Amino acid sequence: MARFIIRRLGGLGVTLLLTSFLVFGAMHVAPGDPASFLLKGRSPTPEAVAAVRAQFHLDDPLFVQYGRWIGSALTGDFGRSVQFRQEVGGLLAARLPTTVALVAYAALIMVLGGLVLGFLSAMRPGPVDRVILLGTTVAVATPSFVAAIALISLFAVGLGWFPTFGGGEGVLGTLRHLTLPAIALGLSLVGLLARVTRASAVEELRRDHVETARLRGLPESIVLRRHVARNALVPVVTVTGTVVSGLIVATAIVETAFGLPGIGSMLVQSVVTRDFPVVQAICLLVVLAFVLANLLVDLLLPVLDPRTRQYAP
Amino acid sequence: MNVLEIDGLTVRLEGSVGARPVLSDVSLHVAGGEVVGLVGESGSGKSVTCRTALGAVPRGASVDGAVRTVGEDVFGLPARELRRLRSEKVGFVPQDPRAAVNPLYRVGDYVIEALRAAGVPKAEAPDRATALLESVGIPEPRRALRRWPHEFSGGMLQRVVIAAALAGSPRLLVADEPTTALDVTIQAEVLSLLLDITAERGAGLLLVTHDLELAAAVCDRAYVMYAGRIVESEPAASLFASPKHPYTAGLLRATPSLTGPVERLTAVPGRPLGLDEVLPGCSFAPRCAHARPVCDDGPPPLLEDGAGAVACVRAGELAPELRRRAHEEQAV
Ligand SMILES: Nc1ncnc2c1ncn2[C@@H]1O[C@H](COP(=O)(O)OP(=O)(O)OP(=O)(O)O)[C@@H](O)[C@H]1O
Ligand SMILES: [Mg+2]
Repeated sequence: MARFIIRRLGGLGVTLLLTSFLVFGAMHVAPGDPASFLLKGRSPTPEAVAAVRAQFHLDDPLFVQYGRWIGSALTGDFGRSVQFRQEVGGLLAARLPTTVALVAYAALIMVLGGLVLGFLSAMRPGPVDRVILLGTTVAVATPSFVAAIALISLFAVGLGWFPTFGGGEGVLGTLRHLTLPAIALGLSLVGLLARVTRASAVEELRRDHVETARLRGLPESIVLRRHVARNALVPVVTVTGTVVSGLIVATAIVETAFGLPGIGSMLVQSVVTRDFPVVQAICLLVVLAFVLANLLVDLLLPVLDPRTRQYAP
Repeated sequence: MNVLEIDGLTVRLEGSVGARPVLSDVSLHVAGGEVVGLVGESGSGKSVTCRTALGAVPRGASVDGAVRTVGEDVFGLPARELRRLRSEKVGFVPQDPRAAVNPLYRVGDYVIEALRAAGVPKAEAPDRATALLESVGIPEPRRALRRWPHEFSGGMLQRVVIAAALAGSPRLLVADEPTTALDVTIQAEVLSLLLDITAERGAGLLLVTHDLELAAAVCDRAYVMYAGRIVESEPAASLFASPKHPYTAGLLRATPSLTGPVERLTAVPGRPLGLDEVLPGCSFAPRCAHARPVCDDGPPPLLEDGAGAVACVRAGELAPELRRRAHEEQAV
């Protein structure tokens, strides 16, 4: 098991290194010159442009620039934000808690809602199943910005139950401020997860061992809990892992719509202003989250399914 | 005393108007301590029949007739009582242990679950499970409790399934082709275990198989099923020596013998009747070498004949010929 984790961590390092290079390279082939943004508003003389390019080492070969960037990134130094004229590390650290809280909140809504609706739908064929199917179809098809607008106009502006804007103070204040954004973020994924859970549970219900369990006279509660739900969870966990890391990317839209000071809204601003150091750092963070979520799923699957254990030396 | 009595059972699948029932007027019984075979080709309704003994019918099916299992009218039982009947008074052994055991739980869990359902207190369950595993010949039973199904061979896993079926001290065991999914070399072992255990406990055994020779060898009596009907029932010995229904005779010829040469194997010509095919008379007529126009005059009733019963209008005139051919087959 220890060797398996070490191997996975090694793979994780390689993945991060490769993607960080891709992220870095992509910035530099993207149209738009950071130097011209830095000098925006002025009429740049060639000397001024050259000076800025030298200050940000923009004339070095790509590999040299990447080496310098990744070297300091490893020590936690992601450079200075062009836009905010501050250390990127500090900027991110200040905004990370909001995003982490938002993603965790949305993930909780997604997992609870998805599992409950999915299992209910699988185990109560008929009207319950059809209503849930309809609801989840609508949810899946609702982009988070549409959900955001609908939620703001109904619960924030219309009913006044929740604030429309900002991050809030303290635990309760934060929860209140994050509720609508978390719903907007998680809604379509509740639908997705409910669908995956339903399909998985329906498949398990048809299995021979479930029929046998009933013929053996096991109580229905045990049949459903131990032999249907437990087995149906295996594919659901895999999907959840991928989807939760995808939530981080989706925060870009929701945080912007709700004016939340998080990583997502910052990514949007930084892309607009071509603030490369910030964009690079956030991309790296997202990749890290993906890789970690995958690692977590890989570690969890053998716990859930003993048959996969023999392949993990 | 009979531990299983199926009486005039007809089972029709949901939405199958016009199609023939899965089971038509099936009657059979198993006495305590008796081993009864249920033989027939694939699709003849053997599995459906033995599931009705446990009070289970295909979803939405309509049921006529009665099934009494260990004295209980299974279709009249409330859900709780049915569950108790299944966990305490009947043991079910399915065809493929690999599919019947949930791969995500330990071997011990499969047995302990059955014991708990049969009302054994939690604290006693592990010891009882160990004893059950030991009684079915699992080596190191206490350690086996902690192992996973995928670490067991098919034969060993079927022993575990049999052990779990004994959890409630059942009066009746229902085994649906219990050795078909196993390696040929261990089929005999598992079957003799099953027979020993039912004999030891004085339980009745309903043994489903498509192997007539096997049924004749190990059963006291056997029923032959074709297209959802019992076409013949006999003490096992006479089933083999003097089959009365042409289908039984055909099945005997289709059974490969361990002693005879391989050429003896001739499958019953034609194919089994589909569920959507309805015939006015005998369902076997299209495949029967002895069919006459009279065979199409309505389904032949199952009539007593000596120690058994046969559903063939020509049974009387065909008997000498079928017996002679059976003897020839065995003489080869
Ligand atoms: N739950 C069900 N829903 C629909 N049809 C069913 C169901 N169970 C059985 N049948 C049909 O009933 C018929 C009899 O099936 P059954 O499983 O009893 O056959 P069998 O004699 O056990 O065959 P085999 O030797 O292949 O196990 C088949 O045509 C089958 O397709
Ligand atoms: Mg069957």
